Amino acid sequence: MSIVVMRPGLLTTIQDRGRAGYRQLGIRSCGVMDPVAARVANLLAANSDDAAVLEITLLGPTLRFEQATWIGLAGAEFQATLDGRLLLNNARHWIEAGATLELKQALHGCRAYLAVAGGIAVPQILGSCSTDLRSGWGGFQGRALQASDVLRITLPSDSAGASPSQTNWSVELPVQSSEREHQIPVIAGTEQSWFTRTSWETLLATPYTMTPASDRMGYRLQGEPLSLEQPRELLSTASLRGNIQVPSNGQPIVLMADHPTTGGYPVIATAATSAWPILAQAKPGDELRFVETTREEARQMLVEQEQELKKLAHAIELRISP
Amino acid sequence: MLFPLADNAWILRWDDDSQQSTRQITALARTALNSFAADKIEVVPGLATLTFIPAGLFDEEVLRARIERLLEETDAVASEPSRMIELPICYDGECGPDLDEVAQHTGLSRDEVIARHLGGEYLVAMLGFSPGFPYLRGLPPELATPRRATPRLQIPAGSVGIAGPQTGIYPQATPGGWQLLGRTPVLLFSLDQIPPTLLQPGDVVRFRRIGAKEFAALQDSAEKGSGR
Repeated sequence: MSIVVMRPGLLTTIQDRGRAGYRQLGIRSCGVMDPVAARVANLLAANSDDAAVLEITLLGPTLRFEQATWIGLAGAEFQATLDGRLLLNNARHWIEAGATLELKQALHGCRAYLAVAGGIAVPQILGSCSTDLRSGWGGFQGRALQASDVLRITLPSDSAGASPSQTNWSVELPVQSSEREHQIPVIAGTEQSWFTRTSWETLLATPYTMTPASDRMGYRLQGEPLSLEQPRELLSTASLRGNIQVPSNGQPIVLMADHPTTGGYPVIATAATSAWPILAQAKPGDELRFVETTREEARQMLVEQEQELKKLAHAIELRISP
Repeated sequence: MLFPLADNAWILRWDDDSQQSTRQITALARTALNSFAADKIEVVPGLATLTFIPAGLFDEEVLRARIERLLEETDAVASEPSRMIELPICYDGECGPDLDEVAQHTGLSRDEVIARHLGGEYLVAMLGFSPGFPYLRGLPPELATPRRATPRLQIPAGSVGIAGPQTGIYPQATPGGWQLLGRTPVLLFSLDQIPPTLLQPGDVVRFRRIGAKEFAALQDSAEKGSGR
């Protein structure tokens, strides 16, 4: 059972929940940028949460399925078509053998996830299928998909042989991302007190624009510059996804899934974990607005997000189980 | 001192990055590694920090208590002998392209730079920057040399470099701006091994000088051994 890549799209990679347990050796976590959309895609394909999915960025791929299977498609709206017929987003679809799935440009958001029933089969590297683009390992040969790559599927779908009818239902993601302007709750960072009082106020009061030099490692932002009270050196320390670090030019960088494990730039704030999906759906040119929150509030937001996902998981299960 | 970090992590901080704090940090990291990994909590040493990063939300009080218990229990472990690893190093020709620059900066002769470098004992404080890149403590202070004005686009794997008072070894070929003293033929990183890095935080490294011929022979067998 396989999928042939006809056109790869802008940046289509295989990801799962990330490579855990090796940060102390300098090995990046990577993994899906939008863990909520990826999880919903897997739910729709009746997969476990840790199944490997395709992460699709801004411009989607064209894929030919060699065998019939169910897929789950969730996240940014890409105007997906199956043999020319428009497909619902955030939905589950039956793909006939020989059918061609085409994803065009992202209309809303930046990233979509395609899960295939059974999961995409690639060798695990250090316990994960995630592509580490920088190191060149994991996923499909350590790189983004290219034309004529052939992806293997773990298991033939258990519905193979049947010819299920078209799906006409979709779900709503528990995280709604807005257009062009995104609110990101942030917690004061470890070096917040190193910055001038004005810098902290500026970070919270003025918008920061995502520049085109943003990628899976980090988002380079542009806006009012932030400055330290006095020049100070930070000793290398563990970095966290969501850290907003400020190099000497004063323009903040938000660390994303492929960030290096350690760093030496002062961290003014860290985005709440529950905001990872919002960040993942922001694209170059969009504005980020940072809103101060506390550790407790940020944890509560994550708890609520998890509860919403559990409810959604239950609802999807009820709909797809025979 | 233990502090909450972001919405889910915890961080232990030291006031300085002395030899003693490095020994404490790496001893704690070693002790924590297995027990915390079982609960999907990553434990990452920095130069004056130790960060605990759970995979998902973790009960605040439980995790705090576990880290405090780790601190109490590790005092005894800190005196455990570190692993000593001897790395062959070649300083000749292309292996040590910046020896002259380091000699010039430090006012020492090439041979003196080599002798002092060989005399050092280096503690692996942390790994970071790139997969398996060790930050080594213990560079003789007189060898400290600022990084190169223009970084190199490609530094061969195994290159031993200096940046100011810091020293490290490039495990893979990468761009970089450190002054290169010599090169080890030993494979520092391989995905075919678990763990994939030869060096772990807390290991002690000593260098043994080899010539260009032995370097080539060892490099050859390292490549064959890795199956690549």
